[in-house]
Amino acid sequence: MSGAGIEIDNITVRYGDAVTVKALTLDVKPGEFLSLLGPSGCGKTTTLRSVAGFSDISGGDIRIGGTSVRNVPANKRNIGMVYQDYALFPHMNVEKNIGFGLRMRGVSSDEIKQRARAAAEQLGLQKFLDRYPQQLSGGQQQRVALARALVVRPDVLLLDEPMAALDKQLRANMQFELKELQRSVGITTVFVTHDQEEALSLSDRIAVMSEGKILQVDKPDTLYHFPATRFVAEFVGTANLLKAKIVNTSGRSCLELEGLGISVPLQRERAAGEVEVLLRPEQISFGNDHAAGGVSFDARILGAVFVGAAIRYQVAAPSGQILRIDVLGAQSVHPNAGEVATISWRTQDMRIYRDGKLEE
Amino acid sequence: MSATDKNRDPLAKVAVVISFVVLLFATFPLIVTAITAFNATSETVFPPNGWSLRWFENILRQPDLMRAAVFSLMLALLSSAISISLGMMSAIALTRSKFPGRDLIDAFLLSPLLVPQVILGLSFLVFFVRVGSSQPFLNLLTLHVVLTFPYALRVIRSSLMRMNPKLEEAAVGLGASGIKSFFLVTFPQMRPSLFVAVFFCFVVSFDNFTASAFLTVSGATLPVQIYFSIESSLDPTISAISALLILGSAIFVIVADRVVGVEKII
Repeated sequence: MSGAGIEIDNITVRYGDAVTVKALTLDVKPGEFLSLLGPSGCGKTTTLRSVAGFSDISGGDIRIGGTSVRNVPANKRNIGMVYQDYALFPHMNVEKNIGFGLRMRGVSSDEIKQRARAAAEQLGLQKFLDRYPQQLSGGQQQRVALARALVVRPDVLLLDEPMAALDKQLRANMQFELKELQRSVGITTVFVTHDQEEALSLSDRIAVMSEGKILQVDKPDTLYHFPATRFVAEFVGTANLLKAKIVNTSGRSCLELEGLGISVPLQRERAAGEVEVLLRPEQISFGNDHAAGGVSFDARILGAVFVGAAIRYQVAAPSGQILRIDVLGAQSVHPNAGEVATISWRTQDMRIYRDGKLEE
Repeated sequence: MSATDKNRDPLAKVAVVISFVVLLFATFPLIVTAITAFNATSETVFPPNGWSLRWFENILRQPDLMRAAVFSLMLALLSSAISISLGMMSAIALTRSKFPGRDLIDAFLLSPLLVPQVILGLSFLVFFVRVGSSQPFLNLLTLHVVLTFPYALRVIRSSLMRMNPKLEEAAVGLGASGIKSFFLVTFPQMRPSLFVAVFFCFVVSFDNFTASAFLTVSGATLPVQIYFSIESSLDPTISAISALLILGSAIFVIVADRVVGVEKII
């Protein structure tokens, strides 16, 4: 089974006077796993609900598999949806819950039984068919919700923060399972989350949203390394943003980092003016390995936090700015708080933002 | 931990004893009434001077009491049915949609609970005299719907409020029409509350004396008829019918406990 693509074409959603989604356009390719990532209230759930048919759009169109669903009611859209609280029917056992969509489609009771059991087996629920939702753990409930959504062979799968209620360990397992399941079924999936780590690890592409608009749609690594705006840079991953100024002298552009007295020659000519420089914590390292053709200076160590695989440092630059540095635990240089250490980074790792936007 | 356990134990025992004493005081009059129904002679005395079942038989020979019992039963059943239908619709409207004046309507619908029954009965009497309605059953039915409706609304509404509104949406997402999602998802979960609502409405209607007395000149409902009967004669027939009502209520509570659990009713 290969999923249908979703084309969200310039949609606007209003709640009373408030506009929650503003002229939003997004294409989800068939079979793709796309995440809508953004802070709460950014309109990501509303966008998902308008694809499902639960939020009326006041402008634009939504096409699933090339066919407009604008005038198709929610119960005719053939969509599988999983909610944050799973919304399992408390008065039905697992088998009845999973079979509900098939029952609504007029499938014969023999076939419902057989397909519901097959779906339960696929998600490791065969032992729980007679249980009621309140007798299941959070992870099991989520599997039931997934089975219930997938058993009807929907055109698209919509997931509204389905991991939010799970504890961390279980969440990691379920993320892995969800990704495997989605890959094997090959269904087009839209996943709403405010958890950037979750979005980065699961998605083929991520759409970052803020205030009813999409700021950037890209593959996770592109999004992380080339965030289009300052907002995306800060929302996805940890961002060190340094104030800087571009100065042009005799046809060459130089980047002057504010308060550091460091001037870095740039590869190509750029317009003069105030900018900001983005560096990810793992792009900065101790020692002056990157001194040649890079930036290097002495900074004071403020503190360090052990986070398992890495040690996360906070250091103060001579300018007073605080930088965050991630050093893999296996690396040898581990200065202590209060010490002064040389830090450095490579010129090509710096991303330049002018007026909050990435400058190519 | 162990210290609080030691402190709590004797307190718990005292609480149990007090509960039993209160229960005894509350039920003692009922027990006495029930026992006097078995008196051999025609006085209502305790302890009885001999045993007999003839006062139960005598109920059947009292056409006024029999008519009143049937009248009250019909009144209670019909007013409960109307109140529960209306209560269900109002509860859905009040919990599932937002509209201007919703809280005001909500408060207004529950207001009969706050109005003293004497005032309610008197105003209905004045109203029916003004409009010239001389149908005792219809007049009482109107009054009893007003009396029982707030109970139906409250019980059904609280069960709807506890229900996850996403469930109906999930059913629609799975292909159910609005009507199907109501009858397959919402209604089955409302069922215990409907049972509770029937219980409350029936008891409130069947038992009502104060407000009903204003609208019944000849003692049409059972409580009012019983009141008239003890004014004229004091033989144990009234005790016998009271004993039957006590038995009926007890059976009702036991069945209700088995079906939905008594803690949901109270």
